[in-house]
Amino acid sequence: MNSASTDTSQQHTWRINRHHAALWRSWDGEVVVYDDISGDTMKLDIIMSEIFRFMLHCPATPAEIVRHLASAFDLKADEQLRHITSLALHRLREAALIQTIPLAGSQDAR
Amino acid sequence: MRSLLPKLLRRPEGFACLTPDRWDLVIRQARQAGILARLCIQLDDLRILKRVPEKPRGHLEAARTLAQKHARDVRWEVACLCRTLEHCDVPLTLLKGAAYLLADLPPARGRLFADLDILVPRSRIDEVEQILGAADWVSAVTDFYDQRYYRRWTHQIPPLRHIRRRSVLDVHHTIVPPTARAPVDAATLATESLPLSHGGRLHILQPADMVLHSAVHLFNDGEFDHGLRDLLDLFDLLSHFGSRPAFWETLALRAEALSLTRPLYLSLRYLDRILGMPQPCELREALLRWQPPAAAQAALDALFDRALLPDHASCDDYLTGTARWLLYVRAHYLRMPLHLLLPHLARKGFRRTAAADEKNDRRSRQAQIERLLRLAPSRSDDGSHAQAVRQRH
Amino acid sequence: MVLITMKLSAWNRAELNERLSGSGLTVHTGPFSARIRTKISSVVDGIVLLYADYPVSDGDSFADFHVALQQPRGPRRWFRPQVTFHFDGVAPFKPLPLAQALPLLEWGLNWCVGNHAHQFLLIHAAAIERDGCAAILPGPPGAGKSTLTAFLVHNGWRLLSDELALLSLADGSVTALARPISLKNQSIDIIARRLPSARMSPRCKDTAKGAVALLRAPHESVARSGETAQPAWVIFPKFRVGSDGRLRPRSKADTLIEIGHNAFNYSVHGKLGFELLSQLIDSCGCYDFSYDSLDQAFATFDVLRPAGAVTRAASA
Repeated sequence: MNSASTDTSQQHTWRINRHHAALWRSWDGEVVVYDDISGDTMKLDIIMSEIFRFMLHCPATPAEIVRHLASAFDLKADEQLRHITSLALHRLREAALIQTIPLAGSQDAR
Repeated sequence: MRSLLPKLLRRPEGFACLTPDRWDLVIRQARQAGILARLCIQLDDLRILKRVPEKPRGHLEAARTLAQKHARDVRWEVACLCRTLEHCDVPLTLLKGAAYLLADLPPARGRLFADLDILVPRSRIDEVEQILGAADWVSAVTDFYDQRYYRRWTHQIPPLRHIRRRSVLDVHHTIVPPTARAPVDAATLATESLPLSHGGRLHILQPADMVLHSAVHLFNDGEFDHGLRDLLDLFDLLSHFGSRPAFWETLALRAEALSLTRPLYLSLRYLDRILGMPQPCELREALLRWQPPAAAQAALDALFDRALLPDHASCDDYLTGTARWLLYVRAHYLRMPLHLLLPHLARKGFRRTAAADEKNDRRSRQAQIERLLRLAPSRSDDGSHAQAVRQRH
Repeated sequence: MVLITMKLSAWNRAELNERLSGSGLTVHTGPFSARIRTKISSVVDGIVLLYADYPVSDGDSFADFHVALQQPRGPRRWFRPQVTFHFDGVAPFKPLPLAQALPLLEWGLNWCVGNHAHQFLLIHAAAIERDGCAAILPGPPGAGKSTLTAFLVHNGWRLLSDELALLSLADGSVTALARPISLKNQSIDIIARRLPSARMSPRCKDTAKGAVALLRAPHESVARSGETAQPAWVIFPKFRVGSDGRLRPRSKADTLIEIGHNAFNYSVHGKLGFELLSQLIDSCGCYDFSYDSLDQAFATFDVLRPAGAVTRAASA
């Protein structure tokens, strides 16, 4: 993933893609998602699981997610956490579990 | 017992009172024919399924579950394919199973899908092959001779397999081999194709072409593993489209325009003989025109009456193996003019290696054709397929 | 609808031979029946030994699977003789040496269930039962799962299955298959020593899995194969010298993924498959288990108790 796409993703608000992430379970902070469209079953790591569960309540920007993770795991909201968050968001998007919220008047979110 | 399943399909209320030993045969024949799931759905529609005894019902429902999985997989594959080709403006026409599924047509119900079949213009096929190659589709055919065989003698490039998903994609450029006696100009298919609702990206053949494609696949390709299933596809398609205004007239005109009257004639004849579907009165005169001479008709009946039954020992008689064999030869004859066929077979004979893979269906069948043309048929030649050793009860 | 006549042991050898070489003998194992045809004497011997307790019925009935073990025609009938397994007239595998005919019957029957029985969710695992509770034991070959299963089902536990755990789609309960247990390599000797009265087929050498022998299922397991059980434990066993024999809780999320990988038809069932496995994980204690002796393992399993109230996972 290149830094240009990282910078772009900082500006978006992300939400759960309910088409692909309709079924999930969580045990001890680890989320397993079943995607009925692709047939994939995915276990999310601790960070991705926490992000996923946070976004179930409402869409969030990367900055909001970083603050939440810092609070949940008692970490500093520093560059390293921002980078980890960015990677996690990228992987969640690659798995089609999250999508950006389209701006008013624009095309469907990717 | 040979015609047990077709008879029941003609009168499905008969399923409600089958004895256990009859169910035993029906399940096995239907499984072999690839129509177990379709049968489950049909019985459910007729509200007979709940009355089927527990054990056969278990198999019917298990088959339906598997068919539902196949359908999910095909939808996903089509979605992935659209994404792979989204920046390329090549028109994509879905064929066969995928078309039935995405267009919500009756032959999709209870179907077990094998490969995904698409049609693209011949002029764009290299471009499409390149894009697919960059998206993890690799050739499923590694042998150089087989590669050349596909590209020269058939109407598709060699099948592609996705590295991760393991699905198989057949990219066609027309619906009959280009060397056939009556080649079909794919451009005429394209101009009449209909868009699906995927933002117009995907197309399907218009109804008459869909029927003709199904007919030519069944009656000219020489593969009868799922002959009864393919015949039921035609049954479903014609039942579905037959009530549309002017459909039969369009179908007849189209068959004549594409020189596909023989496969259409055979379809209607065997739909009547095997499944009891009456021939449409709208085509009475056309059918008389298209009819082959009586001797040829009798020969074809002897072959197709056998080959279109399930490929199961309980449906075979002593001529079934030979019938399937002769139809396979006929398909090759239709694909390759005789003056090309014999040199092709001769060349194949020299190239045969000692390590030939017995599971390579087409290769071993070609070897059998060679034996047939060079030698008198031997007593031990029971016409068995390369893939499966058939047992005779 | 099935006319169950009697146990196989009630038939004499001549009758069995006639059936097996003619229209076939239908043997009932748990929820499935297999009509078996063969003329191979080692297979007939094996069936007499291993399937004595199972109900059989005559030819005019429904059979779930029609199987046959045949020697091919041609030179391989005599020279390095082979055997082929047929499922309703089709041979899904390449031929094997004739000496492996009996294991081939077992592998073939497993293949029949694994490929077709989508009436269940099929997990590649052993399953045993006590007091109505089932322990599911997934694991790769060589982990010692069959050895452990063989020992435990002769020491207080009931055999549900050696290779294929059958989960009901309706309620997630485990249905018994209760077929012979397949033992490999050293475990053949270990079990022969520890269970001297247990009946075992002759050893077959040089299979793809090494030496293989088949252990007859205990009488009671076969007699009670109509009783289902509720899963209470998912335990991944591994034989390792020096282990302390303790159960170690493992990640439930990981366990679901691992079981999905170890299931024959998880993806066939789609959404329902995910829900069934989630329900399984919810209701079971999930553990890794290393043991260095059968006695140690017995002691650990002896004190297994089902967990209290089930805590359901957070979910969609």
